[in-house]
Amino acid sequence: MKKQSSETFKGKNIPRLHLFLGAGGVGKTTLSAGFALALAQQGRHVGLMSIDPAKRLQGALGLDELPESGAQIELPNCPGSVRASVLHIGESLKRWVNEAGLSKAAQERLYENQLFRALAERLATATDTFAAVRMAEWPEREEGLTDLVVDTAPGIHAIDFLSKPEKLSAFLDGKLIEWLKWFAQENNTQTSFIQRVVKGGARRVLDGLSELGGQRFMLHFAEFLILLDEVFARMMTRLNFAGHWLRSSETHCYVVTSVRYDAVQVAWELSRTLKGLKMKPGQIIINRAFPEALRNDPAFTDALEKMRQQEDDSFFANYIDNFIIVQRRVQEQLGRGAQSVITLPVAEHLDAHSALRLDDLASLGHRILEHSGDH
Amino acid sequence: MTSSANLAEQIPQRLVFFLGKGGVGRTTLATSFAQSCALRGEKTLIVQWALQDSVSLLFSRPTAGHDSEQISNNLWTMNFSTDEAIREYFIDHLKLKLIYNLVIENKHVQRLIHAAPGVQELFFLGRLFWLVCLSEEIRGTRFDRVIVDAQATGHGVSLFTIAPTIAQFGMTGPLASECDRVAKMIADPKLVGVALVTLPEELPVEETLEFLPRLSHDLGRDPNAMFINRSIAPFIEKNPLSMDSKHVMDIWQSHLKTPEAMRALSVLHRDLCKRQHFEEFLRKELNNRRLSIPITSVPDIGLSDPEAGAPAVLRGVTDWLVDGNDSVLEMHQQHASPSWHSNDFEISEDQR
Repeated sequence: MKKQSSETFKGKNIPRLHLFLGAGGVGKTTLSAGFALALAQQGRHVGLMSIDPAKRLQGALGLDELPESGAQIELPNCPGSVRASVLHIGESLKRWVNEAGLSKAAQERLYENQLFRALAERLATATDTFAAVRMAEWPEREEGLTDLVVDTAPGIHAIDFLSKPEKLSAFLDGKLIEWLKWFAQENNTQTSFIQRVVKGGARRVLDGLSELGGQRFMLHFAEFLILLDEVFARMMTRLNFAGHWLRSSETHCYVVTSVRYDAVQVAWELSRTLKGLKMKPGQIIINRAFPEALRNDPAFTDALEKMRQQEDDSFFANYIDNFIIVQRRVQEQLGRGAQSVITLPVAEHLDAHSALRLDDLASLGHRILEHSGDH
Repeated sequence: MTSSANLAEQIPQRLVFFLGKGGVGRTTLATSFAQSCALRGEKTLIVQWALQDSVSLLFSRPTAGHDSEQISNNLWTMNFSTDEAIREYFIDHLKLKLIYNLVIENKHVQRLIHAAPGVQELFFLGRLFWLVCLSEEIRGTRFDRVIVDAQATGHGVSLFTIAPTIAQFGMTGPLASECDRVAKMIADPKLVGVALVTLPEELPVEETLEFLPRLSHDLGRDPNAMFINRSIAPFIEKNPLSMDSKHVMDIWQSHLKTPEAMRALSVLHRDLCKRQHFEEFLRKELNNRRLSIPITSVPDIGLSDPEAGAPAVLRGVTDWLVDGNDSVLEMHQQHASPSWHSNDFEISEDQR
């Protein structure tokens, strides 16, 4: 296994990126954690960025709560390391503001600004918009990082995460910001005749915007943009990197599904989206499948048939029977696609009512690694 | 068990939001509820906001765009488009064609609209306001019910805070009045109802319990109803012994000798028990919090018929909601010949 990715960006080696996508409830978060642990056991230094981890998983990682800025997971006798974090854009934004070196007064003004407050605290959709920035920031913060494992938002929302870098940077890079800044300054200073002519086109757009939202709002908005100038500048750099990283030939996507038609449909949609975004489609993982060997064992099929005839408690046998029928359909269906499919059978230890164990999680990760060629 | 009249009492409002995270079956429940309204003779519209209309497919109709299309008796659907809504708002509603051409179509303003969080949500709510409060007067069309399935908003809860949040930005002019009127609309308990959809599984239940207080706070009232989708409770009622692990495993043990086989089966049996466990846990928690939200368990139709495609599942759920028809609980006894079409989850491929 290579220690570092051979991929570079602006002359620097960049870590490998592994994305886990899929419908809600298919086990993305568990698999991404297991995958990160498996990489660490192979001596790699791994970042793990989760969205909405279940409390049980946090418990397995030995933490009550995953911090936004990341926490090192205790891994006894492990040659590598895992640093895990949970996505919390409000806190990330505040951290980015601190790092941008704003004066104390400017920071106070920013925290007072209603647009900033809304962005940081209220607007749930901001998560998708900034997740890519958080991702791209990781290698800067952690020297020696070899891999980053990202557990994305459930279902088709992952698309926002994948396509927002372009949308956000298109805006940050656009003229509107410049115009608005100019608009705010113009309210304080006199502008020359020539400036007025040059900015004539912009003037009309700004006047139109003022008519729609009011001058006061425009000034709020301009202040917001000016105060965040430095933060946005850094964001732009990170977004450029994120776009490049997502499309790197070494970036690997795992589209996870369970034995359920709706989850498979989401997997299908996601795979097509990856193609549309010119990303490598990677692998499809069928998680928690019925063990192949058992399914074909005559003793088992015999028993299943007998159990289904029992009047009182045929429910479970019917459930198993259904599970197998659906699994066969799903495998047929996915097998027809161009992507390779990894089937992970139900793993007993992970389903116990007792706490999850790190080793069990890691063994799941090793199974994925064995089949994926992602190293 | 439920009945249509009962549900209509729980959710009497004209504008009903179905909320719930991706994968919980929100679209199925929203569509079933809409269908139950349509069956009672109410003119009903399902408003989707998703990458793609998935409701029309359930009725074997071509996909709908931003304009509403009839998909069955008394039932219409549309899939919201931000660009269309913005155009309609400025040109048809405000009569500001010049501003629209000059400002909104400006490349840089377009970038703002697509990057800034909240802007699209505001126009979505504006469109709902138009449908519920204005379309009768302007177009002479009136829907008795408007059912919202907004996949694009995640949980959907951000919809309820967006207008008050934007109202704090100190706007004046038409956008400010737009915020104002949608905020008033949402605050009206006679006009707007909310139904939550969840699953009897660990994460969805955890999330629902965390999400409920926030929702009640943002909305200023509790949601009207909750649906626990893919429930096994109605099946268990008929087969109570099925949850007794020892009993079930002992019978299997008499047929099967290999420990691997028994292990795999006991894992899957635990899955089932967990579903039942989380459903009971959710009901108990809500009870402990003294929340009197009516809860409907919707049976996992796929359990009685693994060959059922999405349209059949929808029919089963609607039957259950409308008259508590429990024929959906009969487990299939023999395997049907492959009546199932691979297109069932490939449909979208053709639609693009």
